[in-house]
Amino acid sequence: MTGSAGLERESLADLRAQFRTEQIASWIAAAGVLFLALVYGEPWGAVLAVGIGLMAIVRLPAFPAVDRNDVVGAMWWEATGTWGIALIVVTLIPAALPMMVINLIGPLVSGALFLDARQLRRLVSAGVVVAVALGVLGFRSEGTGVEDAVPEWLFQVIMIVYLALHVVVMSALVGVANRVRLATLDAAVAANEALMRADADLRESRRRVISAGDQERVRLERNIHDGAQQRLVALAVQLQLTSQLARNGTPVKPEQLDAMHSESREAIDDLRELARGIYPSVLTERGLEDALRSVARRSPNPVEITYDRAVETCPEEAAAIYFICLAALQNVAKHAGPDATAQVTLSVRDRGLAVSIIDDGVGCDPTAIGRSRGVLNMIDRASALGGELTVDSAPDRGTRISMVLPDRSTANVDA
Amino acid sequence: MTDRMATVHATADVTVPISVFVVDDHPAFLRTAAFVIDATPGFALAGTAVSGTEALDSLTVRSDINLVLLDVHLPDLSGIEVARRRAEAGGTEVVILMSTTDRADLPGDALDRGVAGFLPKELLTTQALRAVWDDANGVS
Repeated sequence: MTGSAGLERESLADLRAQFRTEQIASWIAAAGVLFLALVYGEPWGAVLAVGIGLMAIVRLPAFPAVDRNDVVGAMWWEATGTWGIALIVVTLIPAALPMMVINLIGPLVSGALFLDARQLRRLVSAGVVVAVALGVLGFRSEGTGVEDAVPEWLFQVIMIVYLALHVVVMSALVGVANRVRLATLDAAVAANEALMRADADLRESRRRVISAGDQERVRLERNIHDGAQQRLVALAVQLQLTSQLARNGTPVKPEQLDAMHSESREAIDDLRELARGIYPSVLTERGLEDALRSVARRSPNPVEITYDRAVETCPEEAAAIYFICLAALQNVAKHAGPDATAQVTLSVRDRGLAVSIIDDGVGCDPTAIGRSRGVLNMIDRASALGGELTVDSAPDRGTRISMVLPDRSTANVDA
Repeated sequence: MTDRMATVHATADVTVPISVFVVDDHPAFLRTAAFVIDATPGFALAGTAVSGTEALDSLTVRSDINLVLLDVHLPDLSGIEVARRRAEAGGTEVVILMSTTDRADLPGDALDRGVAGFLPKELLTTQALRAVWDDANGVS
């Protein structure tokens, strides 16, 4: 499952605690055997105790392995030590073979729980070799008769306690594996939820972008219909009338011609305003700084522009910054009050771009900011370029709009 | 409809001028309509309104209006709705809808209730004015 992928910090701590319990159990066993060897004066007992202790030492590298999140390595050290004990015990006491089967199976259970399929296959192959060795030793070894040094009932009690303890140890191991599985699942669920939230945000933003585009077309249609189109219709009708009057020999009144002239001039003005609203030609022809200065000149409120010459923008960034500043300054004109002044600042920050539009006007209720369609529009424009935009305002505290666009060379990697 | 109007031969009674009321929210068109009406013999501008409700208020109290040039797109009520209400109120004036919108973009039943005809704004001429009037009065 997580053999090579590594585990969460909590799961690693769980596994480490499990290994520590097994170490303590091994040393208690070694000490117990040594005690009995001394009590009953049996040298083979001392050999057995030393063997158990050695195998506990063999398993020690499992701790640094777990600390390195090397679960595969830890499993192999554990298996080597556990199987080593079984081989030593069966060599000295062939009658203990049935009990040692649990030593054979223990590491395989751990492996099945913690290792991926490839690693598990290698562990099982090793397990088969150990099984054959245990079987051969169990059935063929003469043994040392060390178990005969203690009363038969004591030997039986030791074996039964050994079995019972191993059931507890293996259950604890399965418990650890289960917690690891749940933790992994929780992490996956949390990641999935975060992804779904991001996806929902993206869908909502995309819907707003399309809706903003549609609303813009509606606005343009109304502007064209109410502006230039009406004036041109009026002009066409008046020209037709004038031509008819002239043909009939009726003198044309100068004020009628003046009216037509003024209709045509106003139609031209309307079209110029419309064209600038669709896309400002100054932005394509003379660049962002001039376009912003042009917006500032048309603003009814004084606007100061600070433009760091190190700022470089691609066309998408220039358009986003232009339209965000335009919307912000239109908001200043509409809402900040007649005495408000505004400052627009563009600078380079962390190889990205920082833009701020700050006014000292009447400000607004901060809770209303998030509901403003204009603000959402600005946020969408900024996030479409991988940037972030925040709006701060409070009554009588003015409004501050800050936007940061990431370094373009890394923006795609981050996003 | 405009083709048909073009073939109508105008024979309006010129002794009593026909009172024309113009409803449009664009001042440019109101001025222009005034020029055309002024230049059409037998027709006189009797008043203007810049919204549907203002038009309804005026038309309710004025019995001298013979012809209404009614813009479809008004800021409050649509011209179609104004015509329908006038018809329901028993108005006898001839109502001509006008618009810069294509005829095809108007509702299919735009000319059903209380409307005598449709004239694209840019086609308003002295001849067209007389033609819609004659057409609505069954003169051919």
